[in-house]
Amino acid sequence: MRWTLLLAAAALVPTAPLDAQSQPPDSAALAALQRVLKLPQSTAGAREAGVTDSLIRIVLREARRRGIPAGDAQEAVEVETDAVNAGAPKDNFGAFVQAQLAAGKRGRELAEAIRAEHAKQGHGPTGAGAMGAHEHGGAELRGKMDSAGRARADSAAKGRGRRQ
Amino acid sequence: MTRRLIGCVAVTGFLLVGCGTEQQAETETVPAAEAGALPPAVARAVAVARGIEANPAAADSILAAHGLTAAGLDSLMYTIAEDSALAAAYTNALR
Repeated sequence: MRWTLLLAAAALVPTAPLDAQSQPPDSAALAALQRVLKLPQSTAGAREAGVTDSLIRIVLREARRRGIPAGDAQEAVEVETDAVNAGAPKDNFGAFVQAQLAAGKRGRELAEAIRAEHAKQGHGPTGAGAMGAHEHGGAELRGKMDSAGRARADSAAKGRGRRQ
Repeated sequence: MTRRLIGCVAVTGFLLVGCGTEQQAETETVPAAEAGALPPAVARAVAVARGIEANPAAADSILAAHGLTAAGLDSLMYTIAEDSALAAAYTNALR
């Protein structure tokens, strides 16, 4: 009888952790996980859109350094790539994202800020605005950026000046 | 007594086989030939992505089966995304 009880107990022991592991994640957690898994595809999309590898790395390294979840970085890269595809300057890729990261924005708030900025500059879904406004916005943002970000933005602005 | 003993052994065996099958289904999501062609980090990420796509409810156990935590997955995906060749290999493998 004792053997029977022991064997029955042994048979039941492994099932407990498996039950715990198979707890399905809620829909928000699953959506966040799917964004994380999509990050390389989003950066591949940005490269296909013509954004240079070095700019993409700068944005990702800055996000990583600040402890931004990969899902949030994916969303930011995707919004920035959409803006480039809609006509935003490629060499300004990520400048606003870095400014917002420096300002402490994260997650949904970060994505919304990026979308709103691009809409304001005429590269978002609303299609309003003009290139001149983008330049003005860039100058405003440069004032808010940290020293590393400021140096990169200045360099990008000089590059634009040389081409004009 | 003997019958009970046999019954318990059979139940234990059944449960162990069942667990093994579940584990196998979660980890064998990249065919061996393809996995050999992909960089190890990409093969691991592709296996996780396919596993979660096939069975979203088992996301936690799929990550665990590949030795990953949520933070570990973040780090792996950042590493792949930063490297153009790795990102392209991951993207193509999931197409």
